[in-house]
This record gives sequence, C-alpha cells and structure tokens, in this order.
Amino acid sequence: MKLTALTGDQAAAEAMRQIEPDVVAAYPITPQTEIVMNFSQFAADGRVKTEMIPVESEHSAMSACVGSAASGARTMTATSANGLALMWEIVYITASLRLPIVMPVVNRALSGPINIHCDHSDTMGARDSGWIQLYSENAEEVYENIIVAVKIAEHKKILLPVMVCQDGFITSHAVEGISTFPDDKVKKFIGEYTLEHSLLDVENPVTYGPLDLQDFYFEHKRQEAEAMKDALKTIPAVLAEFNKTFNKSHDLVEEYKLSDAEVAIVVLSSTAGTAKGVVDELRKKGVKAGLLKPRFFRPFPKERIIKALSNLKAVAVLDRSDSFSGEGGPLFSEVKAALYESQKRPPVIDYIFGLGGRDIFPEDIKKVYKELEEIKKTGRIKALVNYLGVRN
Amino acid sequence: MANIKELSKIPERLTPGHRLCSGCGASIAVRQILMGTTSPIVAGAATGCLEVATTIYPYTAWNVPFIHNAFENVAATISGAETAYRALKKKGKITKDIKFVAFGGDGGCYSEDTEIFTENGFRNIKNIKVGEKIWSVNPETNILELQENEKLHKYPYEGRMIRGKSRFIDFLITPNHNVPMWYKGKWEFIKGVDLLKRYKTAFSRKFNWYGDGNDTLWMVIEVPKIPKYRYQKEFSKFDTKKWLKFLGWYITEGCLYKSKSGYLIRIYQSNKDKKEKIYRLLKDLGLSPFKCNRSVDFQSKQIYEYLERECGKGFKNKKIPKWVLSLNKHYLKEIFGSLIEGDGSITKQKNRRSYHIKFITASKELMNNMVELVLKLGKNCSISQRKEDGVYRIGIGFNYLNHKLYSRRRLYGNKQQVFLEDYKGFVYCPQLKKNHTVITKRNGKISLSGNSYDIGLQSMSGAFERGHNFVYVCYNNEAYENTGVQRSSATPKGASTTTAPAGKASYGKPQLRKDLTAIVAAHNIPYVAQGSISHWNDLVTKSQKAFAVEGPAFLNVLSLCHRGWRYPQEDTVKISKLAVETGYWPLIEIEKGIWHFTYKPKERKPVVEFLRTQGRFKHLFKEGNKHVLEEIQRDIDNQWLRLEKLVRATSGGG
Repeated sequence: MKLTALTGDQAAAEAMRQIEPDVVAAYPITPQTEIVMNFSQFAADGRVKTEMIPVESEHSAMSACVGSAASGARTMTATSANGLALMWEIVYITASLRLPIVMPVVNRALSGPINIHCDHSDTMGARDSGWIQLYSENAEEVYENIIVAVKIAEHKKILLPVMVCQDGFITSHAVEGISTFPDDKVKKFIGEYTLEHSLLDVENPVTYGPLDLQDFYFEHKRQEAEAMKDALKTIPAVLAEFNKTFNKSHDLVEEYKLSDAEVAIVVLSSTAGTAKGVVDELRKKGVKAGLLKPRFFRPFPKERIIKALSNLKAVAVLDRSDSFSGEGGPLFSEVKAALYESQKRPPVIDYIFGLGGRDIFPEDIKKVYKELEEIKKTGRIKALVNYLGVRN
Repeated sequence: MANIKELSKIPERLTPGHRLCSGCGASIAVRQILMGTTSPIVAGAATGCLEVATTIYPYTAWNVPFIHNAFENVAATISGAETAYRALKKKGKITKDIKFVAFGGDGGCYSEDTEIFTENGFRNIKNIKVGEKIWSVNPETNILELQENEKLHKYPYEGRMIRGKSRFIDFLITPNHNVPMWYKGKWEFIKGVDLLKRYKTAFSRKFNWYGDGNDTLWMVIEVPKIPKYRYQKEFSKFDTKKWLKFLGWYITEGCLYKSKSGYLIRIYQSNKDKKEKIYRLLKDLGLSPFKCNRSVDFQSKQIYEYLERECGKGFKNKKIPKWVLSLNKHYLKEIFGSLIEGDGSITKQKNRRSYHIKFITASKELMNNMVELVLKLGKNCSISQRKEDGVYRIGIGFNYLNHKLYSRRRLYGNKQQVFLEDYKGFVYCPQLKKNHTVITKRNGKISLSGNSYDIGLQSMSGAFERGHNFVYVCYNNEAYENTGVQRSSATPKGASTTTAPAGKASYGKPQLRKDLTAIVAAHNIPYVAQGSISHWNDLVTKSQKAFAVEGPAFLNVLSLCHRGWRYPQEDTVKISKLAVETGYWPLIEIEKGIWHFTYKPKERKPVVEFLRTQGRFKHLFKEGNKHVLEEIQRDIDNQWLRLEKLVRATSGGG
C-alpha cells in the first residue's frame, strides 16, 4: 500500500490507470474534467495502452462506448450533470444491451438554472436506467469503488453498467491522502475481460440492437430486471473477494454506530463523513445517534436497510436532490417504502439539502438529530419533508 | 472497375430475407456497396427503415456482425467499435487481420499501396519495420546507401495528396512532403505542393554506387568443393567477371536437371550467335559444354549444387546472389549484360538517341534484385506486373536520367490513371526515414445511415474529424421516410411531404436541400463520393475506393423510396437513372480533396423529365407553379456549374 495525496478526480483517474481499459471515450465537463485530463495524460505518456476516443459530445461518448463494449473491449467513460443528461438516450441502451461499462460520475446539479456544484439530481434521474449505482464518501472510496465496479459490471451473472458517483468539487477537487493498491494486484483482481458474443467475431456474426417489438421486448426487459435483482445476491460475494484481496470492509451499506442507536440519519456520499463527526459528538453527549450510508443505491439494498433501521425510534433521510413529486427526494421515497415492509415501521422524515452545492454544516445535521430526538420523545412528526439550509 | 462476373462471387452480406419494400432503393444500395470489399466487415445502422426492416427480433437479415444503437449516433457507435478493434488488435486479443484479408485473392481493382524498396526488395510501406534497412540516396554525395528505418511515421492524413505519374515516375505524397529534384547538377528539395506550381520538374535517377571489389585486380570466385562425384572435374576458383557473366545466363536461361545419369546444367538458347557466346564462355571457364539443338549443356554436380543454392532452381525462384549485388559497377555490368541478353530485349527509340531495355521475369525476388542492380548501375526503371500470369516486366531506361514531370500537362491528366490495377510503381524518396507519408491499403468497416443530414450530422462530423477508419454510407431517400415521409434537410425544393405538404398556399418545401456531400468534403477526409444505384458499376467502384482508403470515407447514395416519392415500385432504377441524366444527382467523387465527375451525361436532360415521374412533384405541373419548375432547373444548372468550377479549381486544370 502506498499513501498518495489525490483529489477525487485524480483518484478516479488513478483507478482507471490501474484498470487500463482498452477504450475510453469521454467528453470533458466540469467537475469531471480532471478525470479525463489526468487519464489522457496517462495515455499520452504511454502509461496506459488505452485507445482514447476524443468524442465531440457525451452523446457520442456513450455511443462510442456501446460500439466499443459490444466489440469486446473493456470500456470506460466519465461524466457529470448535463453531460449525463445528453447521453441519456444511450445510457438506457447500454444497460439494455447488458454492456459492462464503468462510468465515474462526478455529481453536479443538473441545469437549470445552470450550476456547476454538487447535488445528486443528475444520477438520481438515471436511477431507473438499469445501471448499477455506487456512491462514494471520499476519494479513497472513489478509487476503491471504481476498481470493484469493474469486477461487478463484468461478472457473468450481472453484466450491467455501473456508475461510480462522487460529490462534485467536495470530493472531486479536495486533496486527501489515500492508500492505493499495487498495479499488479489490481490487474489480477479485475482479470481479463472477455465478451461472449463480440461484434468483431466476423466468423460468428451477431446482430446487436435489433428492433424488438411486442413479442419479445417485454421478455428482454424482464431479464434486465432480473439481472438487477440477482446482482444484489452476487455483489456481496464480489465485495468479499475485494475485501479479502485488499484487506478492506466494503459492504452494500455502511452502518455507523447503529447497533444500539435510537435515532439515525440515512445519507449518501460525502455528507456521510460530516454526519459521522456529528454522531461522534452527540454520542459523547449521550445521544444514541447512528448513521446509515448506502453505498449501493442500485440495486437497492432493501433487506439491509430494513434490518438496519427497523429498531430505531426515528429516522431522517437526507436527500441531495428533489424528485419534485411533492413527497420528498428519491432516497426518502425508497427508504420509506422499504420500511413499510418492516414490522416496526419507525417514523421517517426527509430533509432535502445541499442543492447546487449549498454547503451543509455539522450544525445543520445536529438540527436533524435534535428533531429526531423530538420525534423519539413525542412520536409526532411535524413535517414529513423538510428543506435544510435554505432561505425561506 | 467492377466486373459483374467477379461481383457475383461475393457472398451476400444482407440476405434476401429482409422486409424492406420491393423496389426500395436502400437495399439495392446496401448490397451494391457491400460488394465493394471482400474483407470481413462490421456494419452499423442508425434507426430507420434499413435497421427496422432487417433486424426484427429474433430474426436478422445480416450475415455480418451488425450493430444498431440509436437514431443519430451510428457514426459514434462504429467509431467505438473501430477503436475497440484497434485496441484489441494491439493487445493481440484479436489475431484475425480483418484488414488484410480484404485484398487477399481478390486482385482487386484498386491498390494504392506505396511499396518501399528495402534490403529485401519491395515491401509495402505498412509492413516496414523499425530497424529495417531501406535503400536511400545521400543527397550530399548522391550515393546509394542502405539506411536503417528509424521510425515509420504513420498517421491518418486527410486531404489532398500529390500524385506524380509518368512512365518512369510514380509517387503519391502529401503536399508538405519534400521532393528531391535534380536542379543544375545537384539535389534540391521542394515541397510536394510546389510541384504543382512549376511547369516542369526534373527528377534524376543517376545515383552513385561504390561496391566491393577492385576491378583492376584479378578477383576469383571460389566454389566450395564436394566429395568426388564420378569422374567429374573439380573446380576451386573462377574468374569473377566471366563467372558473373555465366551466372547471368544461368539466372535467365538456365535449368538444372537431376537424373540417374547425373547432374545436368542446361542453358537454353536457340539464337545461334548467343549459343556460340555461351559455349565459348563455358569453355573459357574450363567447363566441358556441349551444344544441343536448343541449348548448351554441361554436367557437374559441384556447379549444380552451387547454382541451386546461390541462384535458385526453377524460373519462379531465380535470384541474384547477395554478394553479387554488393560488388562494384564494373562487376555488376558483367552480370547485367548477360541477364539482358538472356531475358531482355533492347529497342532503340526512333529519332532519339536513347534506347530502352525490357527485362522479363516470373520471379519476384529476381525482379527485386534486378531493380537493385539497375539502380546501382545508375539507370532507372519501371516495373509492371502482367495480371494473367504475374510476370514482372522491368523497363530500363538509359537516357531518361533527368526525367521531367510536366505539372500542367500530366499531373492530373487522365483521372483513370490515378489508380492503376496491380500497381507496382517505383516510389522514389531519399527521405524514407522521415515523414514518408503515403496512402496505403485499407480496411473493412462500414456503417449505413439515413440520419446524416440532420440529427446525425454532429456524430458523423465528429467521427470524420477523428479520422476513424470506416466507411459512412448515407442512403439518401430525401425525407424521414420511415416515420411517414416528413420533410428533412435532404428533401428537395418543391417536394410535397407530410410536414411540408403542397396546398393552396404552398408548393411543398420552399428551401433548397442541403449539400451534404460538400459538407462532408469540407472535413478533408480521403474519399467522398455521390452515387446512384442505377450506375452500379460506378457505385461499386466508389465503394471499393471507399473501403480501400485509410481513414474515413463517405458515400452519399440516392436511395429511392417509392412510398414517399410516389411512383410505381418497378421504376426505382429507371428514376435513379433519370436523376443522374438530368443532373439532379451528379455522380461525383472528391478524392483527396480533388473533385471530379465520374460520369457526365453527354447532354443533360431537363430536370422535369425526372420530376414528372414522381407523385411528390405532381403539383408542380399544375397551373401557376411553372415558376417553381423553372427555379428548380436553374438551381440544378447552378449546382452543375458550381461543380464544374470545383472540378477545375481542384484538379489543376484537369
């Protein structure tokens, strides 16, 4: 292990360097730009043998990735916000073609109004596209998640594309000391990529992307749904292999001081780090606070969430995006739906926060715990959906 | 040119089981275009009639790997596949060489390869390795020398190349390439592009060569001894010059026969004088020849084995030994003399002081050796290969040492000569080590699309700019036909479509169609062409060229849609032909930036003859729309004039 000072973007590029995909087709967009820049430099310096496709748009980036991945090449790209939106059409096609493309996504607010800073509105919109989604708390997790994502995506029982998300600027541009693995160990872990039916197999020609009408489309979509469902069963085994190889403890969700907690927050990505600090502080004061950080949002680790939250007295979900349903953010909807299956059904409230990169402070999170304590005592929910850190 | 007999042997890549309408121009276009290469291909298509009708799950009409991604991104998708191909090939994961299979046994019409003369004879520039020794000329001393290839620069070049072509010179270079010219007794380098500006340029082939051997001393050739065989005389050494003369005779006219009666060396010759010459030479060498009816023979196991090893046995395997080629001019002249007497012919040119020598051989190695020999002797030569039997013909000039190329008259003279069949021209460039840029053989990927004019334009433009090695085919049916004939930017003026219908206050689409071919040409890709299925030979030929170039190529093919254009389905070819004959759809190509017509009707028919055949223009023939017809004719005339200007402007007066 080697300790290196890297930003989240650099960590992503470093993981990509070690993975050394056959093809990278990417278009730069803030705050993902540094990933493409750093990786292009690796290619230019001959440190990777990857073929770069400097496409003219994200739409072409994902299109080229489809062509490349269907040809049996290990393929990666990276994007953010509006770039993801532009490739939208092909994002769905990639998943339906079951092409194991890994894409680091640096979360940024989706326009409009235009804003380059962090929230999850970009990838949350893609939650129904059929991609696996991993959310990373810090640069080290970005690095590790990208490596494990390759193994997950290419797993013969899964074969789905993966987005590895990190918070724009907060993670992507902040320098952290991270431990990287040796190149050969990473290469050995991910192994060689082979595609069963390659487009380039001219002797056994296959047709990719045929017209699929009433008589078969449904079956194919069902297969896609089953693949995502099965992935939930297969991913823990891949994570176990990763943990064993690299001496880590990755899981579908991360539980922080939750075993004896009474109140807890559910939050994705970098905010989990801030919240952990608050939990520690509150614990010192005797508050039985805990935290649940889902690492995977797709597939949705429902059973784990039920198990982790059922015994709590009150739960708050922190959503860094709004679904504009009038009923809170996407994480809230899904966590709440999951808990409906629980016998105990603890009260759950939602806080939408940090849109467009609005900072969230420990004080804000403390307010949330305070409210949860209140609910614990009174059992009364004042407001189901709340907005945190916004002017009224 | 395509040959229908040959084409019929190419397997169908798009099988007849597809569900496109009968009389659909697209399927005809696709099948004709896929005949442009015999190499393995990967096809892609945008969402549209072609894709929809050929791939309804679980069936596919494609006999080749095929990918459809979305409506507007076939170029990007194929660019991904093409890049993956390169990446996997580099890593050795794909061993199958899709590229080279293409030209395997085809004898294909177009071969643009520049071959470089190396230590091991002519080699395709693509195959030249770093460290390989290449014949080059030192511009300071004009001495022919072997130079190591330090680096083979290989990058896609898009745009114009300069072709120099005459009986003795043939090169294809980039405009910034340095061309050595012979000016007032010394070498000077000028830019390729500047050749065009000059009236004439002289190229010298008179190189200096200082080989081994001191010609004033008596040099002997030692022949290795063998165990005593019967009662045959043993030899240990021969006079070099005489021996070389003998080798020349053997290489051209000699045969080796082994039988129970012994080892016979026979030099065929029916010309009495020459027979006598050979007989005397053999006598001089101390051999025991005897004259036969049509040959001079002698027996010797020792020399039999020597010749078999050094000069090869059988007319296809003959060669000049390496050590001979390293000798100096005085010795080379000896072997050259008898080689020419054997398989050469000398013609004195009428009214000129020069004479011309032809040398014929079936051996590739001998051809290569001969070129090396000729260059070392300070002569120049040109090589051609007979198609039927593969025999090489080397023309050797003595007095054409300062050969002139007339830029105005010849450089872009006859377009048909630009791509010669079985081309084996002599590429001459003393700067082989640097920036030698040539167009080489080429490739096997294709994509087919109808969405190029509008929504797919960006994706296509991006892929062209990035220089992917692929052929982009726009099957142009001039509207969004698949979704029910909506107007597009390819729709011609005056046509009635469902989103720009003709009515009381409208005569259909008021705007001109977009000139996509010109837009693509502006990308400066190596090959751009416009074709029509009615002129199948022209289209297949264009497809062959498109597949042959290194880098992107574009074909805009008029693909009639009888549903949208509203005409009887059996008229597809007839109307396609009218489109060409009226100048509505000019058959043009833009090759390395040079525009030309590949077919020009003797007399352009009025465009109304084309318009009249289709329901989409029916309303134009009504009272009050006459001005539109006139306008369309004017537009066609203007377009034609513009094309003629472009042809003139880009072809250097051709």
